[in-house]
Amino acid sequence: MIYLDSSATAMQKPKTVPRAVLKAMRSLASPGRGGYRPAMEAAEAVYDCRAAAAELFAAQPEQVVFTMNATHGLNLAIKSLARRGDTVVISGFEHNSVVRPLHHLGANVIVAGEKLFDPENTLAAFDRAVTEDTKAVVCTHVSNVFGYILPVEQIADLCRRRGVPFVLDASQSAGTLPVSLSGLGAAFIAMPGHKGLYGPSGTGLLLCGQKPATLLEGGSGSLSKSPEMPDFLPDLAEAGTQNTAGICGLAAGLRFVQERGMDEILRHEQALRRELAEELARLDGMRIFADDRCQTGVLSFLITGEDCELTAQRLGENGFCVRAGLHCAPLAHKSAGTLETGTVRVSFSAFNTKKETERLIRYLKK
Amino acid sequence: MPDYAFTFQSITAAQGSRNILDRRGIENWILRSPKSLLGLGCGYLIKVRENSGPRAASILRAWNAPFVRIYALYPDGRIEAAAL
Repeated sequence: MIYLDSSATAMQKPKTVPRAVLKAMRSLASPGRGGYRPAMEAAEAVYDCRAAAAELFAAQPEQVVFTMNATHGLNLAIKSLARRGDTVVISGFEHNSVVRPLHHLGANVIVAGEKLFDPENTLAAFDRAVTEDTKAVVCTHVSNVFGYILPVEQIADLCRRRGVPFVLDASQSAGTLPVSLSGLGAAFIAMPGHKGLYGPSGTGLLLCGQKPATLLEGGSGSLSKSPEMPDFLPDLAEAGTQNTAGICGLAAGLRFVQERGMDEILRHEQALRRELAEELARLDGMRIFADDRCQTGVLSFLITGEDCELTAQRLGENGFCVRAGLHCAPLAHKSAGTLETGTVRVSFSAFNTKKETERLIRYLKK
Repeated sequence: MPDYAFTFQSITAAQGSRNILDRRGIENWILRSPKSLLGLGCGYLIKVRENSGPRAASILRAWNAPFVRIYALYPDGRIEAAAL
């Protein structure tokens, strides 16, 4: 079996991740809730992860909020900044984790930048769309469908100059591209723990450049007499018992990324994607979505005349795990003109090899 | 002579401040705060030895560490607010 769906979740983890999860499940109690040893050790383990994430993403430890996943973080961020009728600018490559919360709120959504692999067009579109009436800008760093790297540093700069809060969806970039809370001056950055950070599913991070509103209220282990949530981070946004075992696994994933190096992981994934794209481009009847200037290790393609789901099914039956359809990002497909067809997506991780890519190429050439 | 305690509203704030003291070689311990010290309940404190108290206070203030108050912890169990 060759796993090529790491944009959905990185199924292959460093060995240290399950080990850390198991150790935590066997020995740690609830962090920040007691003074006895297993509770204090749990609090130390959670803080270690917070500190590691803060270092990797240029934040302070208390600005790192643990979430269930990136969708949870994006909901927190979006619902902190926007209300019904507010104007929010998003890119043409957003996931439903952005589109649906905004729709639910009843926000006035403006889509900026719909040309695939065209950072200049994307930036120019944001430049036109973001005004002093804009309540927030929400932008993905990398399209989960096409691997398109959006010019988020320039978009964040534009937002800073116009005084508009900027939210980054780093779901497809955390662990491969530089993501800096202080550098971007972002209001919030949301990311999953289980993709490029190689942690367990059920983990995520929200980096907070400002205090979020609460989505959940409950116990925080602090100021317990008050019926209000504490007004300080991270307690404000972390009601209820933490996913301690998951957080310990995430800490192990973060250490793996730091040791292997984000640059190295990105180069590796891009090299595999490049080889696949070049080989598939030589085949008749193959439509490839590729541009080496601004693309990560994610590649979408279509075989002419074949339903993308049938292609993925055929690949799955032959041991290749890829994802087809709309990838929970109909807006991205609409922008790229593939809303009706969908695409087949191959997404690499640090654990994929050249040999695996060559096997996929050989199969598709048959 | 008493030891000293710096109280914090959250474990994360105490841990961040602990790291600041660790980096400056000040021995310290994070403990649950006695209930009587925190009006709104549930918090943590950093305890330091008597001779480290003034230096710890000065360092934590310089780093804007979010401690709430400082207490003197006497060997006989008395706890009193302290001004360092």
